[in-house]
Amino acid sequence: MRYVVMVMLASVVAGCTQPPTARPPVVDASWRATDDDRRVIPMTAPDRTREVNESNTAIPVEPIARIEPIDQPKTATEMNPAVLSLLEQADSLRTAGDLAGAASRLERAQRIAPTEPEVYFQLSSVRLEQGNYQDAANIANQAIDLAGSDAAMKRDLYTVIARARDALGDSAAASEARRLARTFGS
Amino acid sequence: MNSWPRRVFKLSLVLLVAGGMVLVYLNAHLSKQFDSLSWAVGAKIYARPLELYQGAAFNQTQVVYELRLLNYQQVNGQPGPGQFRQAEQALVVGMRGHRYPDGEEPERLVRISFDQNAIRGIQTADAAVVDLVRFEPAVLAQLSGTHADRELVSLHDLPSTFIPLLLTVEDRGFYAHQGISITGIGRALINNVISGRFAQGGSTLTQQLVKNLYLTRERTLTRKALEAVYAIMLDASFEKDAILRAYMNEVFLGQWGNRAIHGFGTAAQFYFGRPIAELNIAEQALLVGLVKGPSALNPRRHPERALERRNLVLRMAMETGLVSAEQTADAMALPLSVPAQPADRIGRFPGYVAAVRRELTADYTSQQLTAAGLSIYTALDPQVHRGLVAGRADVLRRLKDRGLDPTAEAELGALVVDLPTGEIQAMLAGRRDVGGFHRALDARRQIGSLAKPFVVAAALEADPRLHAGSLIRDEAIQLTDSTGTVWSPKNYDETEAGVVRLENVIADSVNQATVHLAVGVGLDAILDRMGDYGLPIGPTRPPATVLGVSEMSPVAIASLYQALLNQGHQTPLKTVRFVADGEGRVLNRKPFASQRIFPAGVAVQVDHMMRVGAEAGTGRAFGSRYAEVLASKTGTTDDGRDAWFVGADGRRLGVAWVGFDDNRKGNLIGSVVALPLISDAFSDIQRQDRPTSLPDSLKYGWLGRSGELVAQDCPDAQKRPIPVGYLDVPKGQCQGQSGTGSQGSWLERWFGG
Repeated sequence: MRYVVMVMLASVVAGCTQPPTARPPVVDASWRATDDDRRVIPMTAPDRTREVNESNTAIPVEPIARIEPIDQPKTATEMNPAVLSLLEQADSLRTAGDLAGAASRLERAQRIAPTEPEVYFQLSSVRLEQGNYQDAANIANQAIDLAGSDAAMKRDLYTVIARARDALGDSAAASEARRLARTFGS
Repeated sequence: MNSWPRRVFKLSLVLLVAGGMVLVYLNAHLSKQFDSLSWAVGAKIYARPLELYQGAAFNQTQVVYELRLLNYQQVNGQPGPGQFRQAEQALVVGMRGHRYPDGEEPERLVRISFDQNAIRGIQTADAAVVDLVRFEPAVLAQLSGTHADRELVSLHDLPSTFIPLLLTVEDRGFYAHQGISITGIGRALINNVISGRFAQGGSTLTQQLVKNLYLTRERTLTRKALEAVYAIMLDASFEKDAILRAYMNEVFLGQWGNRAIHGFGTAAQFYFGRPIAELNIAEQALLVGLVKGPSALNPRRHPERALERRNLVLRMAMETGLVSAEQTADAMALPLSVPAQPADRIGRFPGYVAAVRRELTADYTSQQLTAAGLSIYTALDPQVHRGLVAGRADVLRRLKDRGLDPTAEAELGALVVDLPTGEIQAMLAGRRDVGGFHRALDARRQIGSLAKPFVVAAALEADPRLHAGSLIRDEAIQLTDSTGTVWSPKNYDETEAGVVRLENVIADSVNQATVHLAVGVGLDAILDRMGDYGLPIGPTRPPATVLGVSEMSPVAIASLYQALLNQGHQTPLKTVRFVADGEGRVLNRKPFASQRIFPAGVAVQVDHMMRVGAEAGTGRAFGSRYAEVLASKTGTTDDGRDAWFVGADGRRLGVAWVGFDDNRKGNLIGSVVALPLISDAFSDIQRQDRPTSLPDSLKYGWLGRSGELVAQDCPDAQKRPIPVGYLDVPKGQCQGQSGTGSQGSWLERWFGG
């Protein structure tokens, strides 16, 4: 699986005049709606947008356009293979509806790579799906401090926070998070 | 008037009914006890499993240490499960398969290769790359139930030769008889008549089980008769395999002090230090042979007898065709291979286990914990624990050598926490670390200078223009508190520097400057903020709070510093990852959560000040011992009643307290008697540098000798994180040249204002 990722990634990078792609290949389809989004996603990402809407209509899902990162955060090849493998497992479990299983894979990944924002981003997304909105927002907040200059990551994290705040009924905080998300990309 | 036959009939009826009732009662009683056998094992507590992957911070020595804890045997040939071979910068390991709550690990042969201080890579036998392997966790402890200490086995855990071997020796008719063996009893009777005393048993396994479970060991005919009745009842009520399984786990196989060894699984661990599945035929024969006389045949006390008995068992196995003549000869040539000391658990962890119990009391009753066969998966790291235990010995020796503890009553409490996850990796409850008062959890003591980083954090929050180089007044100060008491704190060394840099307030633990800082920003605001962080302030709000009159436990201190050294994000501290039931179902997990309690920029600035403390301040004995970038804070209270130390590398945080339970004067000093505990705890692990990444609100700038911002190429310029807004002001010139630069406003503020 990982090799598939690497090959796909390599071809994407090769066909791209921009610097190497910024993000490891685990992406939540519902928040990256555009197709020019570098979808180097090896896993099947079902239509989670619909699922989320069914389970909680209070959360509006905004399609977010992908932007180029300002500078060059790490490429997928720089991420530890063990972490990549756990992220993939977590994504499969999450797709299969085993959110607790996905979360425990992500926590295992966190022990290996405790400063990797992608791990926290995924964990906050799972918490959001679990309906654990406060934790989702808190973990996303923590990831923002780890994200450095990865603007795309920050935008996604602020989007998680916005959705969590909406679900918690704090629309002012949600708007502010959305505004911040926009400052990192359109 | 009743006739005789009628009376006899009535009496018989009464007897029959009474006898029947007794039988029913006995049967119910027997069944109940039998059924509860599988539940009688106390909860088992596991250490963290060792996880290895490319880049994991373990060298070969450290991995071998862990393998030995798990009783992997070193071999020269191809390793089987539970064995390993050392190679040039590599280990070949036959991993035992196991099941951890969040996933299964297959049994497989892997080659782990090493760089200097990390894993270079992991491959399977056919050279496929493995991303991640996880070893089975070591057992820390078993919470005492009636059958604590027991290593339960089920029939499929056994090597295929084991049951045939046992039945050959002990009960060849087991699957055919009804609980007792008439021929066996007949033979025994004849022998007893011939010898004139009651010596021989002729017991089936079922009878032996009954004897072990329900009856005394005396050899009387009554007991023998009762044993036979029980055995028949048991046989009638239960499957043969259920009886066999109970026997496997119940049979008495040795005594060690006051610990009785029951069951073959326990005996395999006790005599060979390995799971029973891994025993060869000679080792199996030794265990089977022990049934006949566990103390007379004890392989540690009577090796020649044990060897003789083992070989007799092997010959019997050969005669029944269970093993070939060649295998038997090979096995008989093997030495006993029983280590002189029983392979005990990987150590004793009462302080840690007490914390585990405390953590679980909210979810489980004490009875559930000791009787429900739970598996509790914790975060205990055996190598960190080993370091902490070494640190304790070090500290107790220092106290003794310096005459600080003539009565040997000094106490301590310490813990080490994984900063990003909040997992507690090791914990000591006291100098003896036995049950009773748990100082790491429950000793609430004045925190002294450990308060200073929180005063500085509160000040940085209140005034964003402050930074590491801001100059703070350091001279005598008098305050009058709400009760009218005048308070004039002194510096620890009773000197005054006039002014100090803000970072030195922490690094050198300067009392008067701390008070000037708090008063300069506003004492009330500082105290309010400290209360928000979680420090106990108290209704009278004494100004001395800024110098640490608050009383806190080591674990509470660890929780605050965890947040401070984790970019401001606090994660609840925990010992437990999962709790699973006897069937491996996860009952309880402790999910990761976090909450910001310091702004990231503030936390990272204080973190860097603590790095100066470890490099050149009060913690330099810690910082200079290791090459990595570390952070630390010392604490000492009035009259040396309490000595504290907080130390961290890039991954872990250690907190230690040393003092006396009766709070007597002790002349204890944090950097002298508390520091070594944590310093030693970091000695056996691969340390990491504190991180250099900064949150958006900070950028690295350069400070001159008196704390002013200077250009990077100035001599002696020191790199520090500075709030981004502040970097916009023109940089000062290099030291020795004129120019007050940006410092002017600060000097004014603190001296003129």
